[in-house]
Amino acid sequence: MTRLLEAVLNGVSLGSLYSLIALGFVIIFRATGVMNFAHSSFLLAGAYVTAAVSAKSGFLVGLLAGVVTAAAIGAFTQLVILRFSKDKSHLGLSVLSLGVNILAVTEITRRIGDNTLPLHDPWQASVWRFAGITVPVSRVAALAVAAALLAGFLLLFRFTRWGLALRVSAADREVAALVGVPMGRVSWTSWAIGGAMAALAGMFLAAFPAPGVEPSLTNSAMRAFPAAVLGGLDSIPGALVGGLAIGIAESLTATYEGHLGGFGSGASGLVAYVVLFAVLLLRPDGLFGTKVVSRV
Amino acid sequence: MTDLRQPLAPRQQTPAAGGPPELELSGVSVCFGGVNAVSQVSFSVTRGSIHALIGPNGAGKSSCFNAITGVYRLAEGRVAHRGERIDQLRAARIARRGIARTFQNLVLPESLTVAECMRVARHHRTHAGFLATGLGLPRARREERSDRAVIERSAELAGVADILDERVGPLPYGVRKRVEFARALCAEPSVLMLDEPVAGINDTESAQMAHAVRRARDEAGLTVLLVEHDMNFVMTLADRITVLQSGQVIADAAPEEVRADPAVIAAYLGDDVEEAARD
Amino acid sequence: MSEPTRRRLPGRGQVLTLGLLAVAVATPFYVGPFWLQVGLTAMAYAVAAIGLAIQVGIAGQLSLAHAVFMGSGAYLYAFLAGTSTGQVTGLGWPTWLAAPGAILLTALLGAVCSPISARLRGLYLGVASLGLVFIANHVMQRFSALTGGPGGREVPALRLGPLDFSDDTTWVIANVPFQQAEKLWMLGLAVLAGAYLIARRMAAGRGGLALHMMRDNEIAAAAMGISVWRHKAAAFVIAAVYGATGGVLLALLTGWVVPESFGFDASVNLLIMVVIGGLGSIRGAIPGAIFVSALPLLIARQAQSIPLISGTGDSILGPGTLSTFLYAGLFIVTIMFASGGLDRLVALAVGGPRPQRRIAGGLPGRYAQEG
Repeated sequence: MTRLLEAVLNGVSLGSLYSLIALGFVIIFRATGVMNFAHSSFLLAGAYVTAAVSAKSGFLVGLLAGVVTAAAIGAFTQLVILRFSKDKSHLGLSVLSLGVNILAVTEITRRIGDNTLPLHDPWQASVWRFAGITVPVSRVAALAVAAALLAGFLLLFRFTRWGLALRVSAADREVAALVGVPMGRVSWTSWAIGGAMAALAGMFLAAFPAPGVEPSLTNSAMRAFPAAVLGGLDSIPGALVGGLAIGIAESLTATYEGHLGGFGSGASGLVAYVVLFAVLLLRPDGLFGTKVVSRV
Repeated sequence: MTDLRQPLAPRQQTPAAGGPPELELSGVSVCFGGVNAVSQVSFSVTRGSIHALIGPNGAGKSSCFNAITGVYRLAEGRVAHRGERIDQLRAARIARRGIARTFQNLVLPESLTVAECMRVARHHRTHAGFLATGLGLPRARREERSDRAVIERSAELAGVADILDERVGPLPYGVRKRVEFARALCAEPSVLMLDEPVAGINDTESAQMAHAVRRARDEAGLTVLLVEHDMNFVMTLADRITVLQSGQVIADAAPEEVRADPAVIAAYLGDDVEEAARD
Repeated sequence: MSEPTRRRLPGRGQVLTLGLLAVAVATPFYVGPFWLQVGLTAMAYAVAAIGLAIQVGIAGQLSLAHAVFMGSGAYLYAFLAGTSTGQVTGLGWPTWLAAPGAILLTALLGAVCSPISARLRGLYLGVASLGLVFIANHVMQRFSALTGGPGGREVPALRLGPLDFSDDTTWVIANVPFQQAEKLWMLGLAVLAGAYLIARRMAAGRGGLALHMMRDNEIAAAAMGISVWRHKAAAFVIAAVYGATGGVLLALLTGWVVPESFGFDASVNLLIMVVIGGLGSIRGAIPGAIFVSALPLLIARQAQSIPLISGTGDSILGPGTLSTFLYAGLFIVTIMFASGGLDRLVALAVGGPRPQRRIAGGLPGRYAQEG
């Protein structure tokens, strides 16, 4: 029973991180219609810079540097790469972001090499024990920070001009532009915010259970894609639900892997996609995604 | 069910009498998130006639079109083709019954040639699968040749025979509208649905299109249902007109009657219909 | 293309093609093992890339799982034709049966997976296909009895009747000894040529036009009687067949199959090949495949003479990394500025009234402009 509880708690914490990544992904999609395959590279870049800078200047500075770097890469990708592309179709730009991903991940992987870069985070491997349950502090911090950010974002989305612009741009780009919504600004700020969120989530993912930043971090990042899609690519609540669903499913699978026999080891990495397939089979637009009604 | 694959024998000018109407809408309603785009619309299209659907902007004409062709689902009512219900079929199945349509937005892939665009419409009239085409089997080649014959005939009727091997992208708008028309003809349909066939083109081209539509109806015995704003075009061509306003039918009669109908005139606020009435 | 009344490529194109073919056939008589390996690798990937060009370029279905089909073809061939040892099981089929068997079974796999593409919009498929990649990778790593696990398994050499495509026998043709590499070269060339011709005909014919229309506007395609889900599924199956064929060729040339060759990176590489070649161009997929597969091998060979690589210290660029930068860079440049890709260059060389039909950069209509 304690095992189950721990697994669920871990899952919620992990899920909140996935939600954060997925949310960034969804914001980018809503603002610009692009499926950002470079998202995992933003995450890796942020985590890498955090590790590199915190080695010299301490954790907080490192974290700030990481978040800013990832935000900058996001903004740059939108402002330069996507903006100046002749092929502006959603398919073309999404594929383009894949190219950016390859470049960025290859470069950062080259720099990391065979090492695992420690993060110098304040939680390390410390744990809390209560009611017989053991929870890593870093996971609790992750949940707290993610929840705060998600809440903060929802407030922004609901109550600010920027949030309104984001909602309008998703609905109808032409109208939004005509009404004076600063499309350019909404676009690159969305990418920057997406990058920033990814970097923060990346830091937490690298902090625990991994001993630090390794290139395989991108695999974890990529599991947020199914989270975003299964919730509905243009749905904010969908990203939250999707992330949590995948986080919990993954945590449970990891805990009870042994019961799945030889096939089970490592299955936790797959369960995100299994859940995705299951959802898409029943709801091809995701749980909360808007069905596309095209005008002919 | 009649085999719609056989080319229809040429019909007389006047619409045929007897038998179920070619198309019949009964109490059709289409809803978008609580708003009724179309409300309890009923009218029928006689086989072999040219039937126009007109009305001010937002009247629900396009929604009717899309409801008939299976793009929109009905909130209530039914659509029948030759007495058989079609409103629950998927769009592709409806098309295979011999109902072809053009699109306001001209669905012509830019990098294809005119002939290739038209050939796409032949899809449900032919059968060669990927393997047969890939291996160049005789059946595939045969279909290609017969497709070409139909394409050339339709192109000639629409006036695009000399540009069959040109890419569609660079062609002027008026020419592309004719290609779109020719494309629909290639399907050898029994019902031809034209969505604003002369919108955005000049008077000469409109007249040519009217001529082509009439010729198509006369030579192939098609039934034509069209949506249009151009009153001259409609008045010259239509055997019968249904007028929509705010999603409802306000008139459904021969052109002369519609012209004089006060409700119709009011709906249009006078201008276009009165002008046409004065001719 | 296929207008019956208007025939033939212009003369220049035909001459160039024949010339290229002649050079290709003559190559094994003159070059050494390294170049044969480069060429064979390129051929295998070119066949696979053609399938992806049809699925992504013409049908507009973004698949990031193409390498899974290559892997399926390769592993199934190894399993069907292989013998059971202590480590792995095999069915011991004759290779002339195992090869098409592997391809057919993969086609079945494609058909089974096709509902995914049928139900999803183009972009969603991209993420769903990621799932296929990771699940397939998991299977390749774990089902050691069939796949040999992370270490992989051996691939039996091909034997077509009296023709033995291994090093066991040496054919002597025009005074040149033909061993496995040379023999596979001829086989690969024949397979590539056949695959290409079939693909071109499919693309220009009824099915290809339907895919093209479907990519542009699904609703309009349905209005023309085209069954959208069936065509998306067909694109998947075609991709599976081509991928598997390429996979079998790859397996034959390397003699051993491992999971790494068929993972996410490989799938992305295949996508890069297709994009560099010109999205939507079947003809372009071939130079695209040659570029991406040959580059790392060439750079590795010339490692000494390239200053970036031969340096010492932490910032060495391995040949793999350098080539990745190069073709990822080319990939980005192609999409941004030259979506005609390498096919545009080929078209210029071949001349003629217009370039080979390909998707004119981007989707019109509903898919509005973006930035």
